[in-house]
Amino acid sequence: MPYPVGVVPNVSTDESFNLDDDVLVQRCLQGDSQSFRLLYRRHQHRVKAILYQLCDPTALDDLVQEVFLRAWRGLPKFRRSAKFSTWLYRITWNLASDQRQAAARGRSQLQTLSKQAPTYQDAPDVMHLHYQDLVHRGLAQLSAEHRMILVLHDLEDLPQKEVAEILSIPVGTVKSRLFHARAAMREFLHHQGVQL
Amino acid sequence: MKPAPDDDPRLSEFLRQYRPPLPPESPELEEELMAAIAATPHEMQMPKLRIMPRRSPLWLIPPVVAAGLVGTVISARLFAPPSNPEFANLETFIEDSYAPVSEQSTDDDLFWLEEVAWND
Repeated sequence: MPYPVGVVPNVSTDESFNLDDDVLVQRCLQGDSQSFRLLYRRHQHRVKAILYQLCDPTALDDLVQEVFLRAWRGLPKFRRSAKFSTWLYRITWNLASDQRQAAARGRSQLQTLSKQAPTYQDAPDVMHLHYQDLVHRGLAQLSAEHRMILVLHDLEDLPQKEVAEILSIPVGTVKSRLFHARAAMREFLHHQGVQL
Repeated sequence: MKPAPDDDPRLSEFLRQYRPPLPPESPELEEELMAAIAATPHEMQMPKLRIMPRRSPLWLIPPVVAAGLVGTVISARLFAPPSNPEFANLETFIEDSYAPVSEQSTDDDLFWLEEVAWND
């Protein structure tokens, strides 16, 4: 049931946090930018995680912002046949692809914000850091398509059907890419001395 | 090559356990985004043109066949040869009309023709 803009509670209340994405999208289309703030808070972590594995991490915040700006601008074109999150991750993938192409031509102009390297606040042990580095390098040596499949399916735990919708490919192709991506990752880890 | 079963739990678990940590969130990012959104309108959605679906040329076949049948029937009526009784009547009429003429043809007629020739 859609809520009229004027009577919907403030975004800081618990009730508004429980609103469905579709309701928030409808309110955004009526000009309620605060509903978009909720959508941002709901999905920004996953968007960031995807971009982090696919793009230059030094420009991460700018890329996250660009994804949500594209989503905001394109909301009128969003068809409700898919979930908002699926559509948002699709934008993320498209932006990551654009970013890779731009990076191939030279450094992007988007690097203006934070350039903070990952910090390890819990002082993890050396082996943990080593394995994190291996996963990072293992993902980096995959093709963008295989990396995206592993990130969405194995790291973000999205079902194959949704991954297929995000990438606009058949589920069978998702299965195939997943198989090859895992095989490549296993081989990389094996060469690095990791036995699974 | 047939892909392996969907799940590879040991690898997936390893990747999740040792996934590289994300950089810390920038506290200003949300407000920067909201400020950018306030200055950014939605993209106007262009009204969809109502495009007639392209029809297959196969739809022409039934009208063409029907028109052909109608044309065949009409031409058969118009140009059909007369029936046997009509033929018989026509033959009788022709014979009656030309019989006296052919029967009166004599040598006098030929003589007259010769005279005309000499006069020329």
